[in-house]
Amino acid sequence: MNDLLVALLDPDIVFLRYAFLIGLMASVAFGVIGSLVVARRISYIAGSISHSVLGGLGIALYVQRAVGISWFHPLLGAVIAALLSALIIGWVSLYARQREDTVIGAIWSIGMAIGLLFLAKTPGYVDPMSYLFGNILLISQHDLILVFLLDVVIVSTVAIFYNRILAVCFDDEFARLRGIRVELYYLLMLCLVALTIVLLVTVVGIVLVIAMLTLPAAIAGQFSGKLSHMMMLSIVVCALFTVSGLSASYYLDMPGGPIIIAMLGAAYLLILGFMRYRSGFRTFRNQWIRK
Amino acid sequence: MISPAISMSDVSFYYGETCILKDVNLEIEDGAFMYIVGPNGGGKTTLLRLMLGLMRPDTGRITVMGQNPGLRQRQIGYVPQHIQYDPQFPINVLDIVLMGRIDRSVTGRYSALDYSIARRSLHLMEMDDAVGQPFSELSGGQRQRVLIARALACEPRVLLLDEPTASLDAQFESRLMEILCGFKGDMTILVVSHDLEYVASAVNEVICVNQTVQIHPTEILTAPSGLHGQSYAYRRIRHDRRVVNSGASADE
Repeated sequence: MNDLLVALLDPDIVFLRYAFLIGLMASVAFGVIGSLVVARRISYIAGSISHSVLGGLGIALYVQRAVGISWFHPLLGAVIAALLSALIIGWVSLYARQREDTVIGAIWSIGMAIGLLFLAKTPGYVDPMSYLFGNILLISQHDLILVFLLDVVIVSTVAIFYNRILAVCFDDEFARLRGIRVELYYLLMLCLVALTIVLLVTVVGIVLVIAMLTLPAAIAGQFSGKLSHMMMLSIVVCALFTVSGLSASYYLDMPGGPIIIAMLGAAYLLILGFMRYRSGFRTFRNQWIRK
Repeated sequence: MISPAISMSDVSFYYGETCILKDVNLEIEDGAFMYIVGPNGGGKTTLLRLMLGLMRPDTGRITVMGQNPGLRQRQIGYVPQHIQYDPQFPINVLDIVLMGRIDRSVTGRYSALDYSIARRSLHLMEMDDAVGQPFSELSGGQRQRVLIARALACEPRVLLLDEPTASLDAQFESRLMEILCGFKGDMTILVVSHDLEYVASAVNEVICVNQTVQIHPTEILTAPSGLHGQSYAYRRIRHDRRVVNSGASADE
């Protein structure tokens, strides 16, 4: 443990400190938005949005390098792609429910295809793998500031509209009868999901974003009877696994992202199995007593 | 002039080609307490959803307190027969009842008054002990009571209850009717019910819905050769089922 601490405090090794910092800051966004995604059962939508981000990244890189419009930053392309897919999916799920899953699947794969096509025609070498799996060790100060701003936006929006978002997620018909503009809040929620995904895809990659969005919240959900508790607990779970995953990656000399996912996945399955076993045992015991 | 709480004139509703309600003319005065009875699929729920503005009639005109139902939604408390909800959704009883107060401020934050009204509604439903319990851990009857408390927390002018007693135990069922009767005159209450025998003992007139809507004196329901013989036959089926399910005696 000591040499990790030494490395973290070493003024010359910036990247390690940044990796831990961004992991901890991203945990806030992941915990809050992830709980909404898991509770409202829209992780499939989150998956679709995050894959469509590749389309935006690809187009932006192509425009920047081949067309020469330098202000069209990849991040801008990613934001546009994510918000666009969120609004399309939201619109379809609000007004044409029966086609929702098809559209989600279509945006998922079309987004990726467009991204790969543009990347292929972009001059210079671009590795799609770095967008899929990210590299948490290649983080700049710029990224830190962006993720901090994202946290501020997400936490304040959810804190202000918490009750309304909760009402819309739990029982939209009732919320509508109380005069709440259900469509507006649903789209607002999807846009928050999209923003979270964009900023964190560029940091941790598409695959890790979905894992970090769903697994900590799913673990926290096993122990919470209230959405706000689930959010706080999943921030803690997310931070805990980020720190331990990054530490493990330092000692084992393996990529951080996949280690974090593997640890989270194992923990989730273990907890799920344990809960099943316990409730199964309880029903078994009750049946036995009743006899 | 005081306009009636609910008025329907020549209202018809079709679901595709199927006629659910035909030429309904109905006037319910402010502060009335009435039961709605009729066979399954007869259009009782549709009638309530038309009053709520959740569905639009194909012909005819509906007004709630003199206005279009859509404009009066917030003055109506609605207890649906079922709600579509996710059993794993992390939410507790108080959170759900507080939702009845969601429209009272711009951002939906609850005031101390909102909390006290929510707790009072739960107290009325005798659910004080369950305040912090997750909704998913409640029994069907307890959930029903939470949903009624949520509708009461809206402080509605009109209260619509769709089969509120379907999953309640017999003891609380009669308690609920006492509580609702206590609101007589303060708000207009319409209760969809299957339990015709109980209805007959509580009120003199019922709204009978079976594609058409008529208001009948209750004697007619229990008379074997009454107008709504079909409803009567239904009552018998229902009665048998209750005996099997709850183990209650037939004359309860």
